[in-house]
Amino acid sequence: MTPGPASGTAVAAGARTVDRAAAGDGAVENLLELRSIRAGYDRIDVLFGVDLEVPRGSVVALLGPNGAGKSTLLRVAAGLHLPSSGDVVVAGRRVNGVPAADLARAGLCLIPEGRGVFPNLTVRENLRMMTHVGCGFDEVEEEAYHRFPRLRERRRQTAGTLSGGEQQMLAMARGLATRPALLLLDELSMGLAPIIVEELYALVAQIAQAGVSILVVEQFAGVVLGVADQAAIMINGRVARTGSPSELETELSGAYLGA
Amino acid sequence: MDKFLTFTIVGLSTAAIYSVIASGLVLTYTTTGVFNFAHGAAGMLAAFCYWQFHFDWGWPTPVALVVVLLVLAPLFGVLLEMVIMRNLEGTSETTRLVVSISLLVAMIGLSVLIWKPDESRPMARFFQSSAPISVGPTTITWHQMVTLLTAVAVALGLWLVLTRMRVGIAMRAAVDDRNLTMLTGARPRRVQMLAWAIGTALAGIGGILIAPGLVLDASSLSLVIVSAYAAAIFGRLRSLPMTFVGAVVVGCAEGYLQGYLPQSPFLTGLRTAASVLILFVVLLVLPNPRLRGRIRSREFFPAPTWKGALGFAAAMVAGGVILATTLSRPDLITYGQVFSLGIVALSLVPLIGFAGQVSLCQLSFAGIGAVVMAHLGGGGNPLALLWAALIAGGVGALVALPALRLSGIYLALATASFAIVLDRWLFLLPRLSVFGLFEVSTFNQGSLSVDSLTIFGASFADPGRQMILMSVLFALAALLVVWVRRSAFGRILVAMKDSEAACATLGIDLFGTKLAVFALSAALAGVGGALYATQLGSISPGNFDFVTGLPVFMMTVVGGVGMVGAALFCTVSLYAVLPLYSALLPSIARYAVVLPGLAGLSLARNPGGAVQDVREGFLPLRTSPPAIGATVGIVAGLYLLRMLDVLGNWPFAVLLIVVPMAANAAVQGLSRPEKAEEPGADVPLEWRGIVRPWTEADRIELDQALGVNEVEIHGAT
Amino acid sequence: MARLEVRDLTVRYGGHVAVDGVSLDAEAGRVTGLIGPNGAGKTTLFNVVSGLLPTQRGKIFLDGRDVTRMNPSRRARRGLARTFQRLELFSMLSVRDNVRVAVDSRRSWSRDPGTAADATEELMGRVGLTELADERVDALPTGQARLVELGRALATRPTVLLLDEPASGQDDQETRAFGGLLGEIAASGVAVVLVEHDVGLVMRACDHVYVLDFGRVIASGTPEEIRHDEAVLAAYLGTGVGVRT
Repeated sequence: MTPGPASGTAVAAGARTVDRAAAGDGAVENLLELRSIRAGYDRIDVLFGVDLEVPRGSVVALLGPNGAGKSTLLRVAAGLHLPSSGDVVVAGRRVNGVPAADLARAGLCLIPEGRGVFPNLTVRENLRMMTHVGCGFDEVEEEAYHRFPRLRERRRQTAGTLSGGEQQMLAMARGLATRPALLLLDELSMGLAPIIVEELYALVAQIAQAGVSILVVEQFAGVVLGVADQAAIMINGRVARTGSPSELETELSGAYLGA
Repeated sequence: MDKFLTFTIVGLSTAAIYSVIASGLVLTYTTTGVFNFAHGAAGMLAAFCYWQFHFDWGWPTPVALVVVLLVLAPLFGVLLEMVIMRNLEGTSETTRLVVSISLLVAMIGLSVLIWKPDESRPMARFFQSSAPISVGPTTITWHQMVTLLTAVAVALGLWLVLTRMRVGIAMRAAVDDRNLTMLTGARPRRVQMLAWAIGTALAGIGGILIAPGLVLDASSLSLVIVSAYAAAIFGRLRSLPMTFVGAVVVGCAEGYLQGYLPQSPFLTGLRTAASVLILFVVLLVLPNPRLRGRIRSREFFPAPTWKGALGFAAAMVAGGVILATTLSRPDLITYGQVFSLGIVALSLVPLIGFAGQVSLCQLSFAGIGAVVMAHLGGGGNPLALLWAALIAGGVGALVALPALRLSGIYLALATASFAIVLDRWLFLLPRLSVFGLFEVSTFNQGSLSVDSLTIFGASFADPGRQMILMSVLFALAALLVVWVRRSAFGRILVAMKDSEAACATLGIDLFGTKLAVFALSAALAGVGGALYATQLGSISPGNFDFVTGLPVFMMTVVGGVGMVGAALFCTVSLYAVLPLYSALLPSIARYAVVLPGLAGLSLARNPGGAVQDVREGFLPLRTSPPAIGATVGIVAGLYLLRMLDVLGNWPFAVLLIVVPMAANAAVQGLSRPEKAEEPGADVPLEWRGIVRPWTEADRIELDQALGVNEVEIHGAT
Repeated sequence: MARLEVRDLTVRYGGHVAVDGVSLDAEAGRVTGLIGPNGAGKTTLFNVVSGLLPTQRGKIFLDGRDVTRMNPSRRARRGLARTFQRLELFSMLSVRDNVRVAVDSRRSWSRDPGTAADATEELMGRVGLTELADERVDALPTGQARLVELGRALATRPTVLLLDEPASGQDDQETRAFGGLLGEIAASGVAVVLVEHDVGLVMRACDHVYVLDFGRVIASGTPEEIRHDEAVLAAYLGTGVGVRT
């Protein structure tokens, strides 16, 4: 049974709720709750009933080998992909079928896998696109250039000509400048030099300290476990294990390499 | 030098118009993925509206321009997006193509409806009375000046919108990555609507600028778009700057041809066909696209069974006999095209329906077949049909040879340009002697007479006998197509439509397969055209031109192009239902011109096609042999009564339609009680537990229907 | 000599190096595994080897013959077959006809004994699809759909078989059965190359494993060697990040 799209008023209410919940108001414990999510592409099922919670103000790491369905789960949470069953609950509201743009305006920010930038737009135009959620262009520019001075030098360059690390910085700028309540990060480290990965995760830790709830998907467990409060391992479309990062660290190689 | 300068200015001002139109096309294509064949038609409508307001009603120029370009055109664009284009997501490229072609046909129909085509509508150029500005040795008219300035303004304006305005940036962003655009909170829908509004307004500007230089005629104005396509293809339909470059190339080429082409009956057509030739050449030098993987679409066509195919063939012949014996002579001539053009429509089935290759030039192949018939079929020699098949098939293979590197929209454009080259040039050529060895001729600059067929001494000049012959040949052609689908070759075609990549990795020769299906399809169309020619008796290029061919293409796809029934659906609706309808209700007959277009638009909602719906509707009857027998018996009885003149034509026709429907309903009614006994999910939710025991599955379904959260219920119990 | 030899293969697109100087061998009668993190270049490698993507540098040999410049269909005729991670089935055809297309294709270049119909039935029996022969492939669950792709690939009687994530979408029982089938196929003399994210299956089924990361082979060896390889652990777990630079 595919749940239909939620009504417009529910969306508006949802929008307010994310902000309120982020502000620590009300009784909403989890900023994101995924309940028995099943999803797939065409006929290939990818998720087989996933449950996952992101408590307010915490950083949850979702780990697992490739093909486990982690990215799909994030797409479902962000409204890009409609689950075939299960509930997506953001700040206490069921948001299945709410358009991704509305969720974004409500304070949910997904930085997708493989550089969340528009390659044919200049750096400045990419930053301009971040103002759609309602923040001013000046603030966005200032925040981005302040955090990543290299972007200022390259503001007239098209994003596609930036190095991988610079592109990821530009993508991350959206997570910073738009001040989301819930940040979903997909494989920040993919294809990047380790030193840049470390730099980016230091930033994630800072964002977390500002009280933003974060769900971070990673294949490289080592970098993310230091940042996370909780972790979950996903294998073949199911959450196989949840626990504290230190508990899970020892089990990872088994999960990945089938020991 | 003066001459050169003069024609440079002519070329540049033409280029300016093309660039305006083409940039609108590129804008809508990149932002929405719909290649709008009706883009030129939108410009045409704008030109007509402007003529109406300014020249007919006498509104001042600025008022008329504002109303047309800033109100009507953008509104129309937004309307198109909301009503039609939005529904096209997830449909195949063919479907999208058909919808936009339908729009083209509907818009031409609409303008013919409002503005009677036989009146002359002079349209003055801008500032026509002002003296031209002299530029060195030559002059430039104010209209040319206005045109050039407009193009510059449009280029500047687009640049500003696309790089300085947030919504314009969002437009380009959506082209890069639609999902990411949504993630930033931008609303792609709104962006698309704006793109359609701007795109349509640009088409309008182009239409108004170009109309004074041409005749205010619906189809020729709509086809100006082909030159704009040629410009846009320079930028691979994506790059605006390259589109402007392309416009300059095409515009100047036309300008210089106008000035320097030697006067010769062989070359006059070349000038009008120049942009099309440029389009064709540019398409061919585009880098080879990668093999495409699986195309996921909503359409599915089942393989035909021999039983069904033989039944269909028998019904066709029976239909031919019934028509031949009941209709009057003029009616036979009116409806005679159903079967011959049906074969042309049938030629689309293996090509588009099985192999997924689009062709917009099937009627042109039919035209080649018709010419062959006229030249070689003297005395009704049936061997000429074979020649028609061979020559049309050969030309089909020749066209396919370069076009095979293309797919989807590019293939459609290449085949369309081939059709237009025939229309504007090759079909208009005088007799041509090739090195004195042999002579090639098409329509010899006029019309050709064609003899009706004579087979083994039996003449088929009588329309009744002709009708029966055509129905038999159509039935045979349908069986041929069914045989193809069921053969190893047919399976490969269908497989190729789904995934070229998978086919290639299985060792299938894609090139040879495509070539073969193109040749087969062209040959079939050639035979259809030859037969059509024998019915017409006299043929001219107008019978086979590009625009005439569009409804055939469209209605076959609307019928469900994967099935032979679609060909019948196409020609019956175009050449039987429409004329019949016009005959019955003359007062609204003129609205018939928009109907095929509207039917094509419905495809957005029902991509599987109409024939499938009919097939499914008649499932009870088709699966019950006694009912089929009874229906055939009753029809035979009715036919006897008609022959004995107990029944008139009208009651007979009505009963012919009513009887199978009634039989179908009867079979359905008889079988229903059995079905109800099965304990099935078809019991309405609220009756469960009452008409049958309540089960766990029902509880879950009820929960889902009410939206009750299952987790909570489990928690509570 | 290996059935399939890949030498120094490099693929770039849009400034991004997807495959970077990869060399690997697949021997007849063995299952060769290919694993690596997301975006490591495994599917790209398959696309290049099967001819769907061009290569900028390097060579591909099938049975010692250079096929680098051949189109996909000619490579297939030289004994290369593959399946697709995102299924590429012929949705308009039944299960039987999906296999039959490949059987017919094979017979267009090779004279095989028996009829095409018999060969089709035999193949469907071999991969366990006989019961489903008349189903529409769109109606099958993923696990079985993957078997149709396998049957179709086998119908061309390949000497080298590339399998791209053949077990994804299969349940545990299907995966186990599939592992057995892989063994049988290899035993018949085919060089099987397996890309799979179910590492358990790879470790069980493969004789030799290559690990790809950033488009490069970072390790190769028996499953046991791979499991304890430092570089592999780093690639998967990101531990000791410094090691990889």
